[in-house]
Amino acid sequence: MRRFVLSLGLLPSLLPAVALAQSEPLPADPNAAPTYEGRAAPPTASGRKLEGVTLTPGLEVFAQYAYRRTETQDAGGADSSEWFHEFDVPRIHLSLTAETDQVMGRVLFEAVRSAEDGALVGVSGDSLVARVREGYGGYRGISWLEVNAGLVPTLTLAELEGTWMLRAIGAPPQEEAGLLSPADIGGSARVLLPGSGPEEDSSHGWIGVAAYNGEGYTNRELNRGKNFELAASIHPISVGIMRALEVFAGYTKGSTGTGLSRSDRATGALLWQGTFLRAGAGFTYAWGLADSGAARSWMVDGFANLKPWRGLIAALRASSWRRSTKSDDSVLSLTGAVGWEFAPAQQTFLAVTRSLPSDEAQTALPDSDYLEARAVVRVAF
Amino acid sequence: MPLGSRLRRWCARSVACLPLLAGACGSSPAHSQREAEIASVMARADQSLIENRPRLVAGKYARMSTGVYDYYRGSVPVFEHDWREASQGIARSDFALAAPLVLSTSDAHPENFGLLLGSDGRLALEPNDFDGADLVPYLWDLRRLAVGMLIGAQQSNPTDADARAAVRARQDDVVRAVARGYLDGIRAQARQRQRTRITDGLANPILVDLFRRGNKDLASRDELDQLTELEASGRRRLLRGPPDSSDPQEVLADLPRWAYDALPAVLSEYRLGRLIDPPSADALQLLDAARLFGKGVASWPRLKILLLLRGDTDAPDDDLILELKELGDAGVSGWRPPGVYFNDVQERIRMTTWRLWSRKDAEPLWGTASYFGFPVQLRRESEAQKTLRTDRFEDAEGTPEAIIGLARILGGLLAELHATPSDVSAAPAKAIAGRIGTRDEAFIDEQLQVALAYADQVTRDLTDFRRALADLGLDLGLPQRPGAPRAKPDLEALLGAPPSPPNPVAP
Repeated sequence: MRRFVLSLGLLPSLLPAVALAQSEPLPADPNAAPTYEGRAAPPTASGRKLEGVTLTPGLEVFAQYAYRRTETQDAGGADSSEWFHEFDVPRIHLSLTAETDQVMGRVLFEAVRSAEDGALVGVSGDSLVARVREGYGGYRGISWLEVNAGLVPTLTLAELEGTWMLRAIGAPPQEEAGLLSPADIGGSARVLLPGSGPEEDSSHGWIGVAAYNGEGYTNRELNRGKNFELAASIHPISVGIMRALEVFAGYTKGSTGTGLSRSDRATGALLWQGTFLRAGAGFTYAWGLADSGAARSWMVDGFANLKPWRGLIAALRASSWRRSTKSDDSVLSLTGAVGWEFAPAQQTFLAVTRSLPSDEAQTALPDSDYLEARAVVRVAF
Repeated sequence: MPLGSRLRRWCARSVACLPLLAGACGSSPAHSQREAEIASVMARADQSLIENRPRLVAGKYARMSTGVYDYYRGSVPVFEHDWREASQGIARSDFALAAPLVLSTSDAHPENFGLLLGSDGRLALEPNDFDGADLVPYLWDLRRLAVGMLIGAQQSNPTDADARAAVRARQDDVVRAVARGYLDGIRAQARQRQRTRITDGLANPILVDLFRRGNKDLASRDELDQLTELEASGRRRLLRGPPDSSDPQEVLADLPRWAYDALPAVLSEYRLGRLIDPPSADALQLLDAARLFGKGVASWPRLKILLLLRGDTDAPDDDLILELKELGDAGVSGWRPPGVYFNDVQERIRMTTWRLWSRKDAEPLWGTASYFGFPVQLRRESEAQKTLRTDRFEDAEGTPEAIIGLARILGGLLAELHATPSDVSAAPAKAIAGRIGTRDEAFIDEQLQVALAYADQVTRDLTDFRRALADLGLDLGLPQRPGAPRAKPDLEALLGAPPSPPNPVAP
């Protein structure tokens, strides 16, 4: 006790020494982070001045008019189809990316309807509301390594969609079917393989690993299980025109729901990432589907995005989704489109999609037999 | 340290870490994939309710665990999952019709039919639960009814094994009767639409008993005796506590003052809304209100309040009781784009009740309003408005003939409901009858096979559901966010403190 009282008594004599040490002049570096000496730091600021940081805003909007004719089965003389048409904005994305030579961060907001299809309870009716699609920080201090953590894009779907490059015409069928999610909360790391060509970005591809919650970016975590994704994008030839050729493989070991239902995915694809032609053919196998751990499902998918002349774009996409391997339950989807790129920031498309379910799938999904025509305008900056 | 030793140690550590990695990948606490599937589907469907009112959801799950029929009533999300994912074959059919969808209560099991007191003072058999009413494929409804009747028959005569065996021996005929009643009904409706008002038992023992008990309680206003008491001042008030001591889960409790004070505005909106023949404002003068717990199965966690109203005079004998119930989205909506056929939940209820009943004023006090932002439904609380109960399938009401007869009547009534014109079809009965054509036996056999298989599945599912409750708890394993309040204090006060849920039945 006496020792404690003595220590307290010595404290005032120590304070001037501490103050002297604190008042040493700091080197004048305009890019140095403020120390907030003698005051509280702002609660949410990064603590770094903007010098040396590259900020890149992004904006992407799809506006479309869609006419959908839903085919019906033979109804004994009754109407054999129903139709609906509407103006829509299927995508509104607003992003901001901040980068230094070592660190980066990105947020991406998207607009979605506040109530799911058919629901009546939404926000202010069924308003378009903003939600976070991506929000992560990344380390870029090593040229061959990318590390991200937060609400990150998943590895497989980003590669498939990034090859297709025509989201305005249609999302990857693996995403539409609920087989893969474009983003999830967790972390990912990619090792960039060096290339042998003279081009600065010559590369043999990348190998990536990731861990996520597993419920996708639209849901909170529902179980203790985490999803692990392993993916590799290999460009066998990293020089010349053949560097467009890519062999892709991805595998996700995962679970979903509070019951930890199995939700594993394996995807393989042969892709061509050229300037005038971007194409691919892929196969996805699913162990477990929509909370049914015992379900088995697969999808084959092929697409081509061709720029044959000036701004002209022609595209074709086909997918066949076998919803259950135990029965004849499948949906075939075909999309054809032509478009014109007025400027890199603006494209316009006319697209037609035909969705053809098997009898069994149509019974379970009465709205899956349809013909849809769309006029789409895309702007992206 | 030699390289070999280091390598061996590294390998040993790596092997020791494997269980941790496996744990991170997630090993299901469920005993079977179906158990995990049921848990995930139900938790996903009830997620917001589990987070905000876990005790009420626990009461629902405990109730669902008590028997096959209660499980069937509460597990519509599993039925929908099985339908859409085609994993159980419940949607498979040679007679499917993608369009038109039909107007429906969306859950046409037999206990969603019952007596309603019309404006003419007569009781009639009508659909009486519109919580999930929407547009659905006709086979969805028919199969909900067929499986429900089959389960009711299989569980009949609980205290008489011989009688139950006799019914089970003819369970195929129960499903056949549903399908035959539907088939005959839809053909008749295709020729000429006619909505029949069933105001007596049609010589069926179950319905005769239902009408007898309903008319008896109608005359005696039995609900006033069961739910209220007369004070010394001669003024009536609602009871507090369990009105029926044999059911401790059904409890009436006080409302917070501010919640009580908001009710006159609800009544005003309800009255001036879309009632066919609204009662006078004086008749709706609020005398008392109490929170009601422990009623229903699927709607167990929903906010329910009983309102005691003045009635036509100041005399306590004509006091009126309304039940206010919180509504949500129809769980089965969104079958086809655009998927939305009503402006809001209240309109969904109004339009489906008016159209599906035999007359718009089949229950003239059935209306809608809003209460603290919740869409709510108000309806008369009357002992006369009895619901069909499958647990009454016993004695004279539990013979094979009685149950088969009821199955046929309900099948026919369902066909009449499906013939209702809607915004998506002027004559759905013609489309359905055309689709079935003249293949009567094939149609009936198909419904029989599907109903038998799915009823067996429901029976197995009950065991898996009980296991899920035992393995994952009454929140079905939905992780709690540390430190996060489960509901805001005002919502918690409004929802009140329900009785402790009973332990669920063990698997």
